[in-house]
Amino acid sequence: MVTKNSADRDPLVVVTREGLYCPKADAYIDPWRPVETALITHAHADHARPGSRQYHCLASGAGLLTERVRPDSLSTHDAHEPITMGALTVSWVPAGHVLGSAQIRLSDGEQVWVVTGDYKRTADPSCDPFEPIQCDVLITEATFALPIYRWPSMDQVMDDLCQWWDHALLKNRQPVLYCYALGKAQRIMAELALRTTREVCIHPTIAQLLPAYLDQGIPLCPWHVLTSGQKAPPGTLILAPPGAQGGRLITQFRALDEAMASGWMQIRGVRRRRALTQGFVLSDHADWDGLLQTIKDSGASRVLATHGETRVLTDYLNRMGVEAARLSTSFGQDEDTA
Amino acid sequence: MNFIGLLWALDRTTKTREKHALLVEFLTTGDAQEVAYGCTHLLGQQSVTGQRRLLRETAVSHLGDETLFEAAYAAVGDLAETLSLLINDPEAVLDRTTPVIDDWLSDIAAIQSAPSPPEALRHRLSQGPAFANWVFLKLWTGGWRLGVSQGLITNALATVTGQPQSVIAERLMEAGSPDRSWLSRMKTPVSADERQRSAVPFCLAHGWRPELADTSSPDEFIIEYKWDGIRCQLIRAQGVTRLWSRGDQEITAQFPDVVEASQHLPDHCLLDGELLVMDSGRPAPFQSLQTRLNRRRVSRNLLNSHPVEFRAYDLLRLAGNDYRETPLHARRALLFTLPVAHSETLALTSWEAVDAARAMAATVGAEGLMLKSRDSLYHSGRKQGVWWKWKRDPMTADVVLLYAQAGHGRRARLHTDYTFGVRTDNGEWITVAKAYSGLTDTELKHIDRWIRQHTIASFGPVRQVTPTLVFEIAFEGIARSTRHKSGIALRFPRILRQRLDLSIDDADGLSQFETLLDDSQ
Repeated sequence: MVTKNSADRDPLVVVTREGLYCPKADAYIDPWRPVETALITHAHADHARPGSRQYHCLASGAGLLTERVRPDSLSTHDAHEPITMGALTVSWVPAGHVLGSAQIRLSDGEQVWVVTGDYKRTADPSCDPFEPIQCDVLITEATFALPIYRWPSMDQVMDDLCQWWDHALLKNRQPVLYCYALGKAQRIMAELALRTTREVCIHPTIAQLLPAYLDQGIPLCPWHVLTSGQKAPPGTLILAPPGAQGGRLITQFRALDEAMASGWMQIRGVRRRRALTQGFVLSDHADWDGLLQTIKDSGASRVLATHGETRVLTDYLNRMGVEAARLSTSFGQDEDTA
Repeated sequence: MNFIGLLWALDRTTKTREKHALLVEFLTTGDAQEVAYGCTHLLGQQSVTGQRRLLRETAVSHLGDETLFEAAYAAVGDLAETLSLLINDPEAVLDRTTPVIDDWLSDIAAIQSAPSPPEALRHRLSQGPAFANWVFLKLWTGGWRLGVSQGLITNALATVTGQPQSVIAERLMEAGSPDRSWLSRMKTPVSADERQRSAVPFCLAHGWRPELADTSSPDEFIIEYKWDGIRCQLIRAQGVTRLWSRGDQEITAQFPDVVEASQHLPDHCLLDGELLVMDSGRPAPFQSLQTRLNRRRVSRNLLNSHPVEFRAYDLLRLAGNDYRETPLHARRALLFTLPVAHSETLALTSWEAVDAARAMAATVGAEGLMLKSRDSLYHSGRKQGVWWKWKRDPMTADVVLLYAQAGHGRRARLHTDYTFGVRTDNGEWITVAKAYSGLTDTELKHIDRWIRQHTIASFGPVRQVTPTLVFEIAFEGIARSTRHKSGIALRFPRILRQRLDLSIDDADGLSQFETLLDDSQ
């Protein structure tokens, strides 16, 4: 067991201007400025930024990272494969967030620190499941760290989604589901493939990311790519990133029924602000119970929260007798990724 | 379709036509008790049970942590919704057909009389799906925020009953208790006897348009001051006085002094007028009236310090005769024969004189002028081209954003509730107004981001920001206040625009407000 003092005296991760820095490995985790060595948890834009010299990531995430960042030099690693970097042993452990997402485990032989990146504990057919890791210090996300966020079962969400889809078609409307282009869209396509023979029509930005999924052998439902001036094939659901709402590719359809899949849809006001008829509570982040379970599973004597409702989480943990503090990072600035 | 089914579907559409169809479906297929209770609740006619404290206690005891509850509530922005998300059975199936209201009303009674109401409510919620819990809890708190107006419900009732909307509107005023015969009562026209006891739909005014002066002359209108109080119909029938406000709420109990003063009015009369707090013979600012509102008991002291007068401007019924189809000038002639304070007709013969009177309105405690066609009938609702309101110009000031809080309803998670301040002569910041409306969604989003980046301290859900952004606000009046540290209270403040061209040094100081205060008294 590491005491508070040794973690303080000898931290494995500190926040610098460039990002989360590991002094003993001279490497950064998800740096927000270009650095020499970048250890990447996953390919979302707030975690994987271009410009660094040497990138490292989980092997299953290489396709997405290449598509998004186009690194000059990329080393990929299998899950749990121990890599020696300076005085540290570093390994990537699946985080269940999106394809190829990982937590990064750091050990100097005395202490173990884990940086979770973004993660979820609910099943997702488009990526490897989250694995809890024991550690001394846990650096966690806190996007949905409020007790109002508890995710419904996937069966329930997919039933509701298909019902809404059919109802829209019945009313002669084109159903459009807004979902983040990297991860959420493919998760929905994989869930559909598991359950139905339904087909979707996808926005080009989603299509661009499909090869990375096909390379990893993820089964997806049949799809068509949305093009300007052409109707979506009858009966299909349009999947588009939230930024496409109001854009020409979407507004070319006169009668729309628009919905969104996101953890934020838990709150009525958020859905209504976007003038959506329906919101599906479907998140790639851990809900309140998931965050607390992860903290418990880790056995960490200290918890640091990077982004989201960090104050709520750390204040609560402190009141519960768990030492916790906030880290100021640049993660989680795009709400739509949730 | 049950009440849950109705709300579930209403919550999933933004189109008025679909909402109308859903209400019609509910009225025709719903259980009679469910329909009666549901409609009156959506209309806001059910008295709110005032159980917000029970809801809070339940949430806090469930979480075992008050701070956590406050954070959750701040994020959701709605008490009933927060609780429904905190306590529910995620496996429970949402039943959208079986009538629920009967069971719910007995559940509510059982919870209220349980040895530990929070424990009983928590147990009840732990068995229901989140959406059903939300509906159940909204019965306790009111405030649906569904975009279902009274007009929409009146319209649906008209479609279902085959009655004209005016009959439905009148029926709703005197609908009685929401029992199984409520809907069938909607189908029966109001009887002559009932009519004597009921209020009528209010005749409403449109905002004056200056170009109207080009095609009309002031003597076509009866011009009077626009009083800044509470619009009210006073009904005297069978020796009993009743007061009705615009929201179809009976407010008689809150104004015993008005009831007392009405004893000399003849039986069977209905007057339209304004409730005003009087201060040495002159109407006091609206803020004084607020101290008289929503009190369970009105103390003798309050009656003495804030006496309320009913100032009549129209007569709609007298000795059993309905005068709504009689021209206004004749109605007013009848009104002036009654022993009641009334709103004087202003003798103004030129538009210049009208404009001057409007500018002077504040000096008599009015907020502008009313211009009503001399021959106008008393219409139901807002009829075009008959009654006009011409407010005096609002006062404005340039103030600085000091605090922000996330909004409610569709503004949840966006910092849209602003507190503005100005500097005292010593350079100290002091808050003067809270305002919510007046900016576009794009502006709100932009400012929300700025607020997140410039927060210097947080107090629960409230963020204190670096004094930087200047806004021009408008307000209808200003009064001295002992409740506010600044010593002033603004009436109906709203944001006109962000003043990107001004820095905090260009903003107004507290002394400017003092000057306005002197001018308006």
